[in-house]
Amino acid sequence: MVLYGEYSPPFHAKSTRILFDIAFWVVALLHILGDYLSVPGTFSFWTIIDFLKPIPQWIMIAQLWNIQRIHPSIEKILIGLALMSLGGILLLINKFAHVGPTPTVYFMIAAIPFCLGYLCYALSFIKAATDSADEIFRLG
Amino acid sequence: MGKRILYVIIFLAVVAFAMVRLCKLIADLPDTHPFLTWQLPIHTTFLLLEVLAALFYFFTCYHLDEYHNYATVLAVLGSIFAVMSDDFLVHYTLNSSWHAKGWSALFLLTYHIADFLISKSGVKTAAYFNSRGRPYDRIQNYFGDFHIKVGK
Repeated sequence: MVLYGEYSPPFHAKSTRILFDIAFWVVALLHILGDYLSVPGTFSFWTIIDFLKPIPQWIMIAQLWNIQRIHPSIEKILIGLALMSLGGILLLINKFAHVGPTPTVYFMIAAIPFCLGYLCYALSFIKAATDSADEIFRLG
Repeated sequence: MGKRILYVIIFLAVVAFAMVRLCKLIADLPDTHPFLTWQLPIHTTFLLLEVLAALFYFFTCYHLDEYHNYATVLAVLGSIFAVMSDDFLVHYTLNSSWHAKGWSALFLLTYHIADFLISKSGVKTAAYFNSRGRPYDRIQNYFGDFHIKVGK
């Protein structure tokens, strides 16, 4: 199995897709570092780095944007990624608004885009599975 | 077959761990928002729906070709990482003994891995449908021919 195959347009070139993935992991690891080193209630350089949280999802949205018309399941993954990034932003707000042991209302609101995001992923997998099954179970 | 059983065992182990820990956590919470009593089960239901859909995708299409085989494996692994991620998040946020930076980092790592794997699964799925032509186009062509015949 090959992770990076050579696909014709509308796919990005193989080198571009590798660059997208490197950018994804660089930003994601920076964000994890920012989360580790930032202190809620204070503003520092690491707080700014912590705000990179939704960027990895946006990089993946950029990678999938060109190919969204190939199949409806890809559009649903795109919507799911957008909702996950929204949920991530709300969790970020919860982190900085968090006082004491109980989470804020943002933690509760964040569950809504996360649930809808999971629903989009689920619908995407089901759509891809049922449309592929046509290949095997086609009648006539 | 052994590989598929391994995925199911991993799935059951992760989900069972998450569910048991979450139930224990909710039961042990001394003073918390009442919304958690209904928020966590609803959230877990949607999460499990995603995992079951990924497993449905895996068992339906794993054998079609290399693109789909890879797409379905990535979807299942991404969903399992999503379960792990949310489990770490809930424990980090609600369980004071887990409220350490290390658990937060682990939550974020699994959160990014889940999104990465699911997105790559989308790329492979698109590559499959692109290599075969769009299914709707084929169905439209099929019924298009049918209507022409009826018309004649």
